[in-house]
Amino acid sequence: MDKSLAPSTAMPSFRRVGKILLPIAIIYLVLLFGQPAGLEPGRLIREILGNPTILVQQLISGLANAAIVTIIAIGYTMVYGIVEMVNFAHSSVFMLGTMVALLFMVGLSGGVRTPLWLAILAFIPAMLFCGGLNAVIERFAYRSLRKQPKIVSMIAALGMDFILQNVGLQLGSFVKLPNAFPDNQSIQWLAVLGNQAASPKAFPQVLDSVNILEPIFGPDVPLRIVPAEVMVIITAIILVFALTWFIGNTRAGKAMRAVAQNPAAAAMMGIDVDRIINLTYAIGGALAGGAAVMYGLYKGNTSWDVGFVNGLYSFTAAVVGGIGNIKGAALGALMIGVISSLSNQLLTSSDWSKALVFVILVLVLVFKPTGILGSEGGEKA
Amino acid sequence: MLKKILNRGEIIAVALTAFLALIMGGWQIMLVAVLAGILIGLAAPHTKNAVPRAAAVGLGIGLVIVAITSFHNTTLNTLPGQEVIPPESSTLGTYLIALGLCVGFATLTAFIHNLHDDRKRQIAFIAMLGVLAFAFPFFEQCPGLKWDNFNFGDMSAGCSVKSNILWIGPVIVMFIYGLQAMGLNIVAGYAGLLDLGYVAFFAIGAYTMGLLNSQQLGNQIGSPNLFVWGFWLVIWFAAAAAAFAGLLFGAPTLRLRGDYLAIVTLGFGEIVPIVVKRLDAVKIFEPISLFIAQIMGKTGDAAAQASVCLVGCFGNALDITSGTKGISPINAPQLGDVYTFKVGEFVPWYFVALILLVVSAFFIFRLRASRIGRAWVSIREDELAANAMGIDLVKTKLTAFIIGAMFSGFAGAFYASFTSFISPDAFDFSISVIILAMVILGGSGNITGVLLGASIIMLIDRVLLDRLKVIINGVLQGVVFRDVASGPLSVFVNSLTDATAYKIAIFGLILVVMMKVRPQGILPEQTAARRRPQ
Repeated sequence: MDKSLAPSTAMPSFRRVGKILLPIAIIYLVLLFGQPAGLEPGRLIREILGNPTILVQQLISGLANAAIVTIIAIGYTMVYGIVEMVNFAHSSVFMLGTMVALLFMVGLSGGVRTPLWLAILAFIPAMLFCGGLNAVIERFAYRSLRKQPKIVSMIAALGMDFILQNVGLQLGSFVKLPNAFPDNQSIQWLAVLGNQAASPKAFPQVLDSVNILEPIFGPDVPLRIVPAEVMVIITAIILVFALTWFIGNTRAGKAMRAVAQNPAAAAMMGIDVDRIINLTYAIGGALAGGAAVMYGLYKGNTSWDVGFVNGLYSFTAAVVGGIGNIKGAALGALMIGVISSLSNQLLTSSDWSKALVFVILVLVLVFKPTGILGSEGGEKA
Repeated sequence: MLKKILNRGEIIAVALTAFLALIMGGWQIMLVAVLAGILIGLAAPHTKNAVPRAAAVGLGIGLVIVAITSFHNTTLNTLPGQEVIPPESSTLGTYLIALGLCVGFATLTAFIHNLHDDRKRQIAFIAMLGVLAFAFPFFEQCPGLKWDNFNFGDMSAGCSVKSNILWIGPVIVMFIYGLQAMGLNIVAGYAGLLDLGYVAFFAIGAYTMGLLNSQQLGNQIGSPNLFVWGFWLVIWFAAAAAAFAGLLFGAPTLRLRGDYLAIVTLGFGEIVPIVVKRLDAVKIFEPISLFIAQIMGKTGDAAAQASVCLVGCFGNALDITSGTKGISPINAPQLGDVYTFKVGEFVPWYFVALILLVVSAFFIFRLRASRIGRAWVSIREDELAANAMGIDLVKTKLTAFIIGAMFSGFAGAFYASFTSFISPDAFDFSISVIILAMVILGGSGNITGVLLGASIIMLIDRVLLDRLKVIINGVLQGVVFRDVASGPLSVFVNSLTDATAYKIAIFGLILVVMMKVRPQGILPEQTAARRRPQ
């Protein structure tokens, strides 16, 4: 059992030394084996000191990444807050959202340059599609499993995730349709789906890639901010505020909070729990759709596997901030966004960022499973 | 009408085997017939006339299979793009043998199925499956095996005509995955821990074999055979490495709640291939001296000279895993000086895999009945109660994790040697989910069920979808688009109807449907409470 209760007067000094030595040994080992990843503090310090604007620059692009991650993470965190289930399929709903946004933008502009208003309009189909899809999945795949052990609905969600990923992959097959009907001009834009099913699909460039600081500070300004970054950050802020308003001020939002706190009591108060849960999924999905358009405009491309990495980052953000907590999701996303863009810049490969985010996830879960802002069974949704 | 004659199990057997016969054809009729016989026997009711009834049903279904196979051989096989079916495998004799196999196995299985003594029945079943498994490679490969030209390694060398499809390769892979499914079954089925990164241990086992039984490392040091330690030794190292990784990953994380554990394990499954992918140019310095050198502003070679080098700093960096290119060739097992296993000579591999599978199954079966096995199940059923009864939760879960990882390590080591080539792409997330699907589909907690699940999923993965693709393509090319056979429209429709492209969705669908319809799996675990009354 607990060894500290045992009389161990013989070893206290040894234990105290061990308490100091153990972290040092761990740090030493990490630095030893972290070198292939580029984890060399000397080089990192030199690089940052040599060019301090890196930090600010990465903070900015980290902020833009965080904006997208926040919006996806809220989808995870809301669903978790209300039914305590990790909705694995959420990331693929997001991925399909990027496809819908892409097809909408390119399809309606018919091969010519997509105007900005069309890109903004793309939020509507993407959000409707993702919200509807998430609600349909909840209704037909998860609802009847809610009374079963949690592992059952998690496995169903995993299966759903695979199905949606395959749909995203197979969408690419339609690129062969224009070849089949070369005379039909109205479908030639499908070429946007890439050469093969799995190849990345480029979004039309809607916002120019210019530095908006140049007109203000002149051409020598060391920092660079592009319009797309500003756009995703503003959009994220709008979405978060709209959601907070919805949850705080509407009847449905109140019902959601009630269900999150105590479904049984909420049902007794006359709240249709099934409907509210369905609504939560729909809103989470709609946010994923919004994030999908933001992602497309900011990153400029998508493919069938973008869901995995972004879902991972978002889930980590939700957990780091304290799952079930919307403010926490935003805070966690900020951390993850900045850390991942810094490590993209400073480590030897962006693959290591993925690994780094996972390590952060594990560390948070092991040492503070409630996250930064979370408290066990406390504030939800 | 049909329901009045056949019971539900028999209808399933008919539908399944008719479908298989339709898309397989040729010599495969033998396998389909045996399968049909066993299914009919298992579906036989517990009545007095069960055995004659099964024989009769077997005859009926056998005739159906023969009819469908001859349809396949004469009609479907004339479509473009089909495999050549040797004429020996569509003779009347072949059909009669298949009919006999179907009736014989139906009778035998029904007889065994109706034995009253539980123990006798089990032993008889295992004996029957054992004989089948042993005989499989001898009649699988070719119609008309010539024994005078017999070569144990490559049986098809003795064939007058080779069979149109070789099953033995997929079956060996099926054994490897069955071994993994049994290992995951310990973690997910017995102990109830959802592990979504099980592929990590598979990868670790495979790479241990790849590093210690190939010239990958030795070539860079200048003595190529320094790290060629032989299959029989390294497979134990691989299992130990995987088990150690299980300890390393499990110790900090097994305190977590179930859903968090799933995410964290998913992370491990993702990190291991990333690490493997990036270990293609490793330079390791002593960190403190490197820190000082770099802080002084030295980079590249200057930093290397100013600090203490441990691994691969001067000249070429050490290429441990060859990154995405992968490690190849990995040495095959040797039986002393008598025989060296070869890629493509499947039969010896088959028997090693079979022995590995059987021994592991026996080991896990006994483990389940032991004190620790009962502790796993009690944790799954009620953690609080188990803890109250004095079971150390973390230690018990950790044992499950480690032992589960160990079997994956065995599987990985065998896989690496069998394919002689490993790369990080072979260990992505979908493998974890496929193995999970095997456990879920067959019946988590039940070894027989898990092996059944592994067979079904691997059959779909390695054989069925490929066959379906060929047949659908053939129908499209030969019937629907006969006039514009390779036109752009048919290319489009082909890629849309490519059955193999829906692989992931099918596994996902299996997970969702099983969760909704039968979460306990096809063959549920026989716990004391659920055991059927005698």
